Amino acid sequence: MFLEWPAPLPDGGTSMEMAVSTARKANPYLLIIPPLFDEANRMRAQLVLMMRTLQDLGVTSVMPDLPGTNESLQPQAAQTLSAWRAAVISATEHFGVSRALFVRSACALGTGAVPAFHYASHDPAKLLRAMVRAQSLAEKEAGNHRSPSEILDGARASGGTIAGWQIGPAMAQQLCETQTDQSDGVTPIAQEEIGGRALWLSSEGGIDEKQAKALAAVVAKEAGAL
Amino acid sequence: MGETATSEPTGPSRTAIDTALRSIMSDVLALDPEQVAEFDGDTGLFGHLPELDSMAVATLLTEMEDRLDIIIEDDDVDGEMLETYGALLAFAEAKVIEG
Repeated sequence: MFLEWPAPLPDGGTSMEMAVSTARKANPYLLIIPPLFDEANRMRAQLVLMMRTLQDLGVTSVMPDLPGTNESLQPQAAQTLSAWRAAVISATEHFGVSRALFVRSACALGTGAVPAFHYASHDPAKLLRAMVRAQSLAEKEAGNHRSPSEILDGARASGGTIAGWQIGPAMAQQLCETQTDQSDGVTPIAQEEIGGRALWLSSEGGIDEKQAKALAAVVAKEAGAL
Repeated sequence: MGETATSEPTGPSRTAIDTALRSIMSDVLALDPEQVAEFDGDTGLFGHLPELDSMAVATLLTEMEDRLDIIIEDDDVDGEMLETYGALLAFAEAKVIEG
């Protein structure tokens, strides 16, 4: 079902954002934070399938929108990784979850507030590198070519559109610099453990029941449901 | 993937690079491994496969850097290296040796 939750904004305000949840009464067990930017769209259907699979095993979960993502009406250009990390802490408290699952580049939003799974952790700088490359190639096709480094320098100085996403200067800077914390309380999950195609890499994304079951099983085992 | 330059002093073999590259193509283009296994040196890529748009090319190059432990410079990227599977494999091999 769909819920609303109060997400903190970079300017100190609050925005009501959507969340999809499988918890009816008690607090959901697991908070799911999807990957950043395009990979979020590619993985959304798969993550919802994984939530249903988990529900069948008796484990509830919630996947909230962060400001400027998915259905949010907040401007993308105003968002930063640090503001999203604050929103993740808020969501952790608001929903009262016991565990968190960060997917790909979202692992950089790990807060340590609750024990977390880092699934196929990916450096935000590498994600930005691919986005900047895509922007450069698209501009080349359009006959208005900037090199990837020119695009990146421009984004860090004054922000810009990169591969269809409005990236502010602070976000560009943070994407370049933020290291994913793999320390205490983090259980890494490699794609090799889950098996199958890396669904976040193709523009079509797609769903894979076997992968959903494998990922749900890792979480359910931790929750004591298996 | 497991085939990294650190696992063998001489770097990954030609077969290992080919295997890694086919796995990346399968992931990025959402093709079955069987379909990608049929690629030969002359299989056309950029301009031949509709799935290979600018975002897919960017993802492909970034995954190649990651899994083959190479750096692809802005100037390396041209139409020629992406024209056929053979050209891309040759490029990857040259980069690994250079690496």
